[in-house]
Amino acid sequence: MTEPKRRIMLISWKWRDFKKGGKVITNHLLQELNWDPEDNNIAKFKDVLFDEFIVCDPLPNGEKRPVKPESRVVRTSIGDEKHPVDLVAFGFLKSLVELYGDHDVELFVFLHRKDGFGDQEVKDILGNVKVSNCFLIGEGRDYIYYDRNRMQGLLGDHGRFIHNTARVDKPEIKVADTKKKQVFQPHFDKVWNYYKFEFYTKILELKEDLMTYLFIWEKDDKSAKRTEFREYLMADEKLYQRVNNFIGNSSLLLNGGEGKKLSDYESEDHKSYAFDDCRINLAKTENIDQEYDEVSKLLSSVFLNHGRKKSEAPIKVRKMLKQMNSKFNKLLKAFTPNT
Amino acid sequence: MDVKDTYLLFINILDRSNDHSVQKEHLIYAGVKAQTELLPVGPQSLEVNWKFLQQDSLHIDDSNESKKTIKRISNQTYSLDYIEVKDLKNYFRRYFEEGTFANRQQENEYSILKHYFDIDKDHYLSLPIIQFGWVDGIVHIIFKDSDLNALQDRKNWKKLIKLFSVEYEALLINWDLANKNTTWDSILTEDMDYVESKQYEAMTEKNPIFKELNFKEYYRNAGNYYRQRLKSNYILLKAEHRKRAIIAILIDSYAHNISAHSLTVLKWWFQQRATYLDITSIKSKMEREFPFENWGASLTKFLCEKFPGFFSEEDMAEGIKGEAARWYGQLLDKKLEKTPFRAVRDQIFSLSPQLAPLFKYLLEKGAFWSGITRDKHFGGEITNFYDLFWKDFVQNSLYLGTIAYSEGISKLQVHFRIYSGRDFHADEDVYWRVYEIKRDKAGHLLDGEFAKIDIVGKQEQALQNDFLIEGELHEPLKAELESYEVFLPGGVVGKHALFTLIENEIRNVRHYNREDLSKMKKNGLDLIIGIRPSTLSKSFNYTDKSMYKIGIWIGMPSELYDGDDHYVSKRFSKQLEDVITEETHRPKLGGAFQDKICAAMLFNGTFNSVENRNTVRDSYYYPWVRSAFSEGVDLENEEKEMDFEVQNRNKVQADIYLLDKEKNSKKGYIKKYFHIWQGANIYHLQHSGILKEENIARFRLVNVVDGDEHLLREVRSRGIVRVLTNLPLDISWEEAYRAWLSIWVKEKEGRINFLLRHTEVGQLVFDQNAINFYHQEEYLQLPQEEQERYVDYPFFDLGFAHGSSKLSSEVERKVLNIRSDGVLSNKFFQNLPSIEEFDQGTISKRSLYELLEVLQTRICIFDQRIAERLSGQKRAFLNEQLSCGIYGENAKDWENVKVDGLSKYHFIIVHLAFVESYIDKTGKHYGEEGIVRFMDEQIGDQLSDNCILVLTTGRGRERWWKRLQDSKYAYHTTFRPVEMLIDAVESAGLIKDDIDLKYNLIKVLFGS
Repeated sequence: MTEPKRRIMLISWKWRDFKKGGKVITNHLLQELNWDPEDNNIAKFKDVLFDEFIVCDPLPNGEKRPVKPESRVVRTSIGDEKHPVDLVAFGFLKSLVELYGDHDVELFVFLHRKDGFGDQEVKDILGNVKVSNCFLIGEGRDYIYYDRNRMQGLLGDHGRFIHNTARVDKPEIKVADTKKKQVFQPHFDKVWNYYKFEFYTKILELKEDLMTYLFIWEKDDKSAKRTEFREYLMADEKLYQRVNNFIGNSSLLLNGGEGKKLSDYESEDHKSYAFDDCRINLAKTENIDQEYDEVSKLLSSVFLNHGRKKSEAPIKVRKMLKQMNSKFNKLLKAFTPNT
Repeated sequence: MDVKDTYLLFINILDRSNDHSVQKEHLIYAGVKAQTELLPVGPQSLEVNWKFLQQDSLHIDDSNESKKTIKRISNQTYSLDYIEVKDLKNYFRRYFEEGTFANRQQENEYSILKHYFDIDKDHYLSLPIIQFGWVDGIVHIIFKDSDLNALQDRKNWKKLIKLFSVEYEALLINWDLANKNTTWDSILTEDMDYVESKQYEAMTEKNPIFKELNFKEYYRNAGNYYRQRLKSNYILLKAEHRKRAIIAILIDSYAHNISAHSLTVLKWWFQQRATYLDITSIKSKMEREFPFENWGASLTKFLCEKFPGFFSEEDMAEGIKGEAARWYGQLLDKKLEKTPFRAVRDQIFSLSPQLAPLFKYLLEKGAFWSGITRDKHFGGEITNFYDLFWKDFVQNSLYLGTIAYSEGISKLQVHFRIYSGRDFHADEDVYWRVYEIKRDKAGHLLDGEFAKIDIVGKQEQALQNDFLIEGELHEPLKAELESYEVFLPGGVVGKHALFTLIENEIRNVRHYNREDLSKMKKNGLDLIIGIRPSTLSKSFNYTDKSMYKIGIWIGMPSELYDGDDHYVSKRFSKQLEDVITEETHRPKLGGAFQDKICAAMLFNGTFNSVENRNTVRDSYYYPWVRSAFSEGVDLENEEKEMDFEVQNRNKVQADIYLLDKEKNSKKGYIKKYFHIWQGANIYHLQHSGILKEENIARFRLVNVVDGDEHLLREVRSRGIVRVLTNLPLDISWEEAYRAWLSIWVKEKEGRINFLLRHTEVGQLVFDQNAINFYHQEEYLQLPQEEQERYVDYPFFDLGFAHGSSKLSSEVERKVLNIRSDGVLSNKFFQNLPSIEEFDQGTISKRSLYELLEVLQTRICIFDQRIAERLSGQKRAFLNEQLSCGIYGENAKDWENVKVDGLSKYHFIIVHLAFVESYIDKTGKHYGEEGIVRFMDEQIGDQLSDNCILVLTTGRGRERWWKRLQDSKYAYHTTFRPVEMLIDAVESAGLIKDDIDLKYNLIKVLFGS
């Protein structure tokens, strides 16, 4: 029987401890600390530029026992400079990934959008085969952030693990002990399990929501112009934004930029809808980017690529919906069985 | 004399209802209303009889008893011998014998007397009513037989006649001010002359009744008293005239400064702006020459795509054509080439940013005028000079830039000169003063340009003109001015009293000669505002700098002499005059009197105090404005300036000094000085005498040292909300503020969680022992038992959003909208660039207490206009999150709020119109007169030291206060102008900050 893999979350985020200690990694700081990318001795910066929290199981007697297989949260903070991929600081992060990645490790890397991380950086990190997945997080709206309604998550909105005090009617929320550098297992597990299936879940939800919304068109087998489809989809702003984001057109906003962004909907619903880190992860870890692209291409041709003569031709509605359903299913089935 | 049983008076006197012209042929039944109130309640049927007597009059020939008496006294044949107690049955003999009454009066008298008396047994006594040597009528005393002995005694008749005489004469003196009698000289002066004349003396020696009652001696002794009473009447009369004169004088200020100058120009420019382009024909011309398809189609398409559903393509195209035609027309118009460029008239972009402050200013002027009419001001507002001058004054560039437009001046530089409060002994006499100009810590001499206004501009600025720009010394001046706290009595009313004083100075530019005016036209007018921290005069033993001495002048030297008269002396002499003329009591119009009235308001808190000279302080500071001149800053020492200042106590010497024209300077800067109180923290009030000197309304908190009930009332009546008793005299401001909060805040312990989205980032914990703020990390470090104790405290969430989030979603998510330029980041916390950096923020004890006060003060507002400023959703949110309930004036909401109890609020703010129109249980409106009944029935005993009713209106009404001031509610009722409350909501709305909204309201309500 194969040993279960060790689990590690490497989170590059706006950790207050690093900020307060002046240890937010920038090119300048690394230069000051004489970090040499070739040196291969990154471990010496532990507890300076990064640190580790052990995931523990809090027992009823108050004891905290490390879980098995061993799990950790590694914290680091990369400065909010643009295009980190071009920076030496990003090299440090890659070395850190190298340090923690191993054949017996499942490594999830989380990158803070607000610090300039985007799909380029995700692609770069995923270039290291030891990385299982790489996720973009930010603005308090992703699953890794604690949410009062679902009562799950690890991060607060203020650069720390969430720690809300007890009240008469509510218990204390404490996911970590910062002094002892421990993260508590139930909270860790919930987040871990979510991210393990995040992309599958997101795609499935988009497919279900979209097909349900378009179902009304299927009742009689008519032809329709693509512009009609587009206008119909635009009537549901959120769904329109999600489809756009899936395709990769995240910059397209309604109302000339005055309307809500996808991130506003995410904040309101306490849910992540963005696919900005999805395709790259699927390409690197699942090798199913082709399936993804097929769906994307179809959605794009139906809802977006207008203006060309060809696209003005009416399309058979029922046929198109069947095709859409089939391509989504193909993509979902392509995920490895345990996800 | 001891009358034990019921008695009744029928007083038949000459009719004086028609002002000074007494109806000598008719007698009326006087005092009927009082009679009906004093007598035991009779049957309803008597109302008709009383009403008849009240409304009817009796011709003197129809009144046997009265006619005889009056004639006999006039003929000098009446004596006590004619007086006798008579029987009622004799009076009504005709009725008993013939069944008819002598007249209808008697018939009605009979019905009344029959109820209260036994006509067969009871009696009456008729006595003359004598006033100042004349007879005005007869009083008939109807009494029971049981009191016969007392009223049969001849000695008592003398006493009674005297008593009635004294009472009646007192009423006459009051009558002298009734109706139109105030419009001419007192008629009673003649009467007094008569009773002190030889003629009267001779009469009293002959006329038996006057002799018997010793009336000759009486007026000899009491004459002085009566003269004094008449003099008081005259003073009251003048005060009334003055009140009206003040209104007239300040309306004239509007007519002059605003209407005649500023609005005249603005109206003309805007009229041209509105009409000189014929958009329709330009559109046609453009369509002919440059078809819209060629240049506008893509723009239309672009906008329609960007804003789907906003407009149809046709409407969008029409809008673009219209706007383009305006641009095209303005750019092409030959007027631009032929007439000088006028930024207001010719600017292509919208002028909304410039118009908004003008409208605000005009709105506040409305509040100012209603304040003048009301002239009862409850407290005021503590603000700082920077906010006052920068945000409220100079922003109004359209107005300030046009006040002097009739002299061709449209550029204005506002210049501040800050003097240190140091005292320098002048080399010469009492009228020379040496002032030191202050330097800030960085070494800047605080004497320079604060703001520049130019409303004409240049043609190249036609797209967007900066009407107002910061002056060279703006930043150092800003820092200094922000540190000067100033008290404005009546809030917006005091503010505009100050602005009127400044505006008048700008108007004074017309006195300059043509050459100087031409320089100012070119370079702009320098308006200089001098500020010097100052103490109340040394004669009052004050050592703290409690006031600012404000100087206003134009930065251009002018001629000091007009012939042989010195302008400074002349101006001051004028200001020493009463604001009304001596003979006709007409208002004296003009800037000097406007200045005097406004300066009196700033110093005393009321306009009507303008001629007060009763106290030592008032006579020292009267006429509230001082006249001065200087030759400018010392050329050899830029930190020094010497002023020649004329005030009440040195006027004579100063005039003599200035007579010597040869010796004195011929040119200089003519200044005016007045005082304005500093805002301050705490005052320990020990006795009422101090109220004549100190302005206690300027303090944030007043401690009545021995808790004296009378003093507490006095303090409250000045609109001060934070009132405490028995605090130690050496208490610090922080400790006093905490003591206040322990009484004011209704929860005696609590914990406010500062939540950034779902994360607690700070805790404000308060209880009877302490008020503390902890960052979350600090809080989690507190001893376990302490944290556990706080777990049981009532908690309140104060949720904040990430700065990048949008307002609509904030409301849905129940988090407050906070902006980095709002009060939370700028005033309460230091080092708090954004809410995400919360753990960097620090808060002082004082700010913490103030924050707690803002957050925990519960408000409910019933005002339609305020409610209209916010959506229903937003109002519900503010009520839930910040205990700030804002409702329209509707009965349903009022009843709902009442269900939970009004006493849970700290401030119940109600528009007077709501009270007036509210319908009581009987279906009637309460009306302004029914304010006390409204309080009885709607609010009852819920008001307390931490539950205050605030009435608000934009009108100058005062009857409600006259009704309330003697009621039990007066102590916990105050007033705020509605314009201030609206502005509090609007200005927070502009920066979209919820804490600002609550903070602004609290500031208006507390005054600080």
